[in-house]
Order: sequence, then C-alpha cells, then structure tokens
Amino acid sequence: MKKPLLATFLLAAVSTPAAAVTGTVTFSGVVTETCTINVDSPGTLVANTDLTTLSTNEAGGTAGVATIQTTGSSFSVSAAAPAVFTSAPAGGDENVTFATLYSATGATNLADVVGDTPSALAQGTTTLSVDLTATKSSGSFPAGNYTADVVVTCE
Amino acid sequence: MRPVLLLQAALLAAAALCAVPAGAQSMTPMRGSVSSLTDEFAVRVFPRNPYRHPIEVAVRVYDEHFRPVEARVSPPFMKLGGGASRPVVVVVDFGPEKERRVRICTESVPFPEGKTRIRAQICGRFLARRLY
Repeated sequence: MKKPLLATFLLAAVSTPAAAVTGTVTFSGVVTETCTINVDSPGTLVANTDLTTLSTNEAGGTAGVATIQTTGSSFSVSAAAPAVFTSAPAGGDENVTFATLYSATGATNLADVVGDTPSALAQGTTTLSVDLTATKSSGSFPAGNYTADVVVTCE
Repeated sequence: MRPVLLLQAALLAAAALCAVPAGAQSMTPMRGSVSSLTDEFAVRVFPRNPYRHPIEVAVRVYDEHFRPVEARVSPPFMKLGGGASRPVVVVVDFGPEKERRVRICTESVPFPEGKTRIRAQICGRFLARRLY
C-alpha cells in the first residue's frame, strides 16, 4: 500500500508546471540608401504630318516608362535629352534638336518637367514617364528607322 | 505609300522590336566620403541587377558637373545575371586638388541590337580628401 502511494505522490510532484524561462533572440538588418531604376518600356516616336518633328506626343506615339525605387529621400531624377540619334538614315540627324519632358506618379508626383532639371524623389516607388521630341529646323526627316537614347539618372 | 506613312511604319516597326525586357540596376553605396594618404583614392561600389534577366552595365566616373573624369575602373563593363551583384573598384587621382567630388555611375549598356532606348543611370556621390 505504501509504494503506490509514494509513486502517486512523486508523479504529482513531477507533473507540476515548471517555471517558464524566456530568452530574446534579436534580429538586425540594414537597408542601405539606394536607388533602383527599371526601364519598363521604350518610347515610340511618330512623325508629324510635315515630317519636321518626331515625337512621342504625336498621335500613335508613346512615352518611355521607367520605375524608380528609392530607399531614402535624398535622391533626385532627371532625363537628359540626347544630342544625336543613336541611329538614323542619311540626313536624318542634320539640323535636329532634342527635348525631353518627364512626369512622375506614385511616391513622387511631377508634371512635364524639362529633362535636364533634377527633381527630388520621395522615398518609395515612382513611375516615370519620359517624352522625347526631335525637331528638324530645316528640311524634313527622310524615311528610315530612327532610334534615340534618353538617359534617366537617379543620384 | 505616302512618305509620312512609310516613316511612321518604320518607326512603329522599330518600336515593336524594342518591346523586350529592358535594363534595370541599382548600386550601393550611393553616398560616401574617403580619406586618403596617397595621391589617389579608391572607392568600391556594388552594381546590382535586381531583376531576373541578365543585363550589361558600365561603371563610369564624372565630376560634379557631369564631365567625365579619368579613373581606373575595374571592371569597367560587366554582365550581371539576375539578382547578381559584384564589386567594382574605382581609383581616381587627386591631381593638384586636395579634395575631389566625383560621381560614380552605373549605366545600363544597350544591347547591340539597340533594344533599350531609355538608359538607366544610377550615380553615387563621393567626396575624397587627401590627408597631406
């Protein structure tokens, strides 16, 4: 009779809740200040009716689009116009001036900023839309394929 | 076909060829100051391709007015796989100056077929001081 009683007593003693022990595991990480540009789509230049302007603003033209992500608010964006076409048919590059305008939506909101002018970017994701116009001051654009590079800068 | 239509058709065809995934990049660090005991200073940057497709990038150095600066960049061009990053060492001579401000820029390189028409340029600003 004594042994079962002792066993029951010991079992009861063992099955009491133990004191909780807690520990803290600390995680740390760093997000560096950086800027990421993703070029989503190139623009499409279309000629006007008298063939003196190639522009993304003509009917059928499309602006180039880039997505910019920043992890801080110390960055700025600009979209420099090219000096010449990257490729053009003979005579296509003569007497041509280029102009860019950019607009932004998302973390930063901008409308029709002249390309060379830097604009502050807010922290977050900004969608940048870039328009390019090439104007021929004398003569007209000959037929052929034209390409031009706009440099979108985040700094 | 009228010339204007011919030109527009050629431009649209070129645009259609351009409709492929384009370049993207980031770079760290984008701000920094360096102290040097020699006639040169060095900065190590890490261009990164945050996307899935490979991209080609170039690292170039400019002054505060975006004029090219002579520098030893190693490597000056590289192909980065999706998600890849690699160190690039930039060494710049102080010249007669005791202090130099430079921009180190990671630029997307359009593919030879000319498919990327917006070139992304990420520029870090760095200040270097000569300590003698």
